[in-house]
Amino acid sequence: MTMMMPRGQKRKLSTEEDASDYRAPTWESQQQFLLTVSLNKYQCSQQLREPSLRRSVLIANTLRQISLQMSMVPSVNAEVSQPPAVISSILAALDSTIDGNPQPAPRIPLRPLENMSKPYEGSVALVNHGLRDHGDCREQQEDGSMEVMRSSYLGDFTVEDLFQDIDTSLVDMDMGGIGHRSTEGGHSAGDDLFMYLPPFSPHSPFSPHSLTPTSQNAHPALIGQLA
Amino acid sequence: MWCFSQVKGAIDEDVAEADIISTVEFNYSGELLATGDKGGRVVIFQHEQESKNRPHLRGEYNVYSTFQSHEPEFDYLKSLEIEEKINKIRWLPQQNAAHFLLSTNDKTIKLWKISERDKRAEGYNLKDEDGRLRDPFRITSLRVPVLMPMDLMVEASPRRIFANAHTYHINSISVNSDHETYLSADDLRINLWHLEITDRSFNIVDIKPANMEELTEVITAAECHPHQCNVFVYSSSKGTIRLCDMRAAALCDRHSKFFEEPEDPSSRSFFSEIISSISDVKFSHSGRYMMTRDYLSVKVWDLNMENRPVETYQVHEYLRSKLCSLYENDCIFDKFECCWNGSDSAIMTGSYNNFFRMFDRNTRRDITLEASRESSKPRATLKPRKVSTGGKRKKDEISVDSLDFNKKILHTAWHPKDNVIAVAATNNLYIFQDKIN
Repeated sequence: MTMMMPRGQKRKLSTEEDASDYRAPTWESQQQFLLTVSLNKYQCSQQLREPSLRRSVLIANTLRQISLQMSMVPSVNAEVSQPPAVISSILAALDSTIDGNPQPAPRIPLRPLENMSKPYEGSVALVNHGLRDHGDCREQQEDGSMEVMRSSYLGDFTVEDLFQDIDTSLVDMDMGGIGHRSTEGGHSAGDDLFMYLPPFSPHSPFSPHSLTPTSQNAHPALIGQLA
Repeated sequence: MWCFSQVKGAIDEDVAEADIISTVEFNYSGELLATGDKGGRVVIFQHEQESKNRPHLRGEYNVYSTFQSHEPEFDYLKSLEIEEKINKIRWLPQQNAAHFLLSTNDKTIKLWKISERDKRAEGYNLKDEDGRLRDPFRITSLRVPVLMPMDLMVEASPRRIFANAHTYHINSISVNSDHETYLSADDLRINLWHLEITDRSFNIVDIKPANMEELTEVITAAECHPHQCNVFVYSSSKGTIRLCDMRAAALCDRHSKFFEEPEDPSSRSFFSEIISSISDVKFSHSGRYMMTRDYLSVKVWDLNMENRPVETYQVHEYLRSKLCSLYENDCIFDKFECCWNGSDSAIMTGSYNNFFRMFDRNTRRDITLEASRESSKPRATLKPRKVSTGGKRKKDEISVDSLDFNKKILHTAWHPKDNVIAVAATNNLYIFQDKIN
């Protein structure tokens, strides 16, 4: 078994982050590493022949933890402060519904990270993308029609994805909070993203906003974001 | 002194996925040992009586019956294949000459009857010995068919099929002490069945939230109390165990007891929750204790004390500093089982590199043994193994980085009466015995 560490990281005796040492650069890069790995895992697990609910829930909880930690840390530099917004936009994308309109969402080409000069510039661009698309989606929801959310985070759909019916594990995970039920009421576009940053409450099994795993692809650009 | 007894399964390095053993279970007397595999097959071994004539076959388990329990299915609604892998086998207490067991895959539970046939009726009136119908006009007299001995045939037949009651993947089944009912648990629900009734079951636990977005915890294992037919427990992915009393309410969403060990804040990491996820829960034979297995440890709980376990045994603490890598390669999600010995004085669980660990609760001694072909000589004593954690590696020790994480022992079983253990190592089943002298 190979011990995989973020590229460029020296192996240390203790590879686990020290909870109190959150300002250390290695802690942040390990956080980023874990975030990337978790997103990857989440995406892959949804494509498995037998997606395991336990595994999805555990990975989702880990993702939520990481995003919460990242948002709690006061930004040492501007670049590092970007990830929380990125994560929340990704969480929002993962939350979106794929129920309804059988036409697949038009794919918006992704901006590859390697074209970016600064490490997090790409993520800033992605956030803007997400915001804009959220707005589009929201307007469509108010029409009463169920539109698949237009987002750069979504991969190709299969028709089966869209017709997953009630009371199945995959569908339940895919049912998002973005107005998939018209009775739920719309949310204003302004607080769309940050509302979806789930609070971390280890003792309550039912926190109000939780990560909903879906079968959509996580943002591929982040995958190349290893340190 | 544990000695090698037998090994079952193919030797070659290329392991067919279907041959991977997914569950191991002794029956109540220990006479029969059942295994289920990923290919949906059940193989039952029977303990041969010790014979003075053939002492080399003393106490061996030999194949008694093999049958295909589950086939792969396709769920057309979800476009998903339903795996035929046998998740659990549980024996029913024997009530007559036949043996009964429950086997389950992700969605369907089946009750199998295994019976012996060693006699055959001969001398039928209406048909010949080879089955051809006799011409009725040629029958001039009646005869009574007689039973003649024949070679022993063991037949397995499905007697009940309990289907369509689980939306999520079944992880546990457990026969109740009333011998009439049993429970089945999936990620979010637990159902109670009557063994005679297949078209309905009672839902007794449902932790599915109204909004699946709110889901943060799943059921990982469940078991009925060995003596109190109204009591059962279920464990969760957050490291908690809930004990429920079926007399309290029809829906046991409110637990009677809640077992959770407070977290040690100094050891908190991103992986704390994942490693606290309980992969197995087993009552002691006495019914007074229960044991839980999480990723790094085994804990024994007194049912009368909810706030912490009475005993904690570290299985492979040297992995704590490797959790990041184990998360990446998915090993952190492995579900290890655990088991008690017949007298509840010892417990056993598996680890990586084909190691398995035994803990003596009285002496507090523990031992690490390996299930390997190298130490598979008849009646050879198993050598204790050790993983070196410090810088210096002693001779015969193995370093953490040399461990083979593909060789994992997830399923082990202990004979209900004797010191005989069955250890599943991928596609091989090892049987070890304890020789006192």
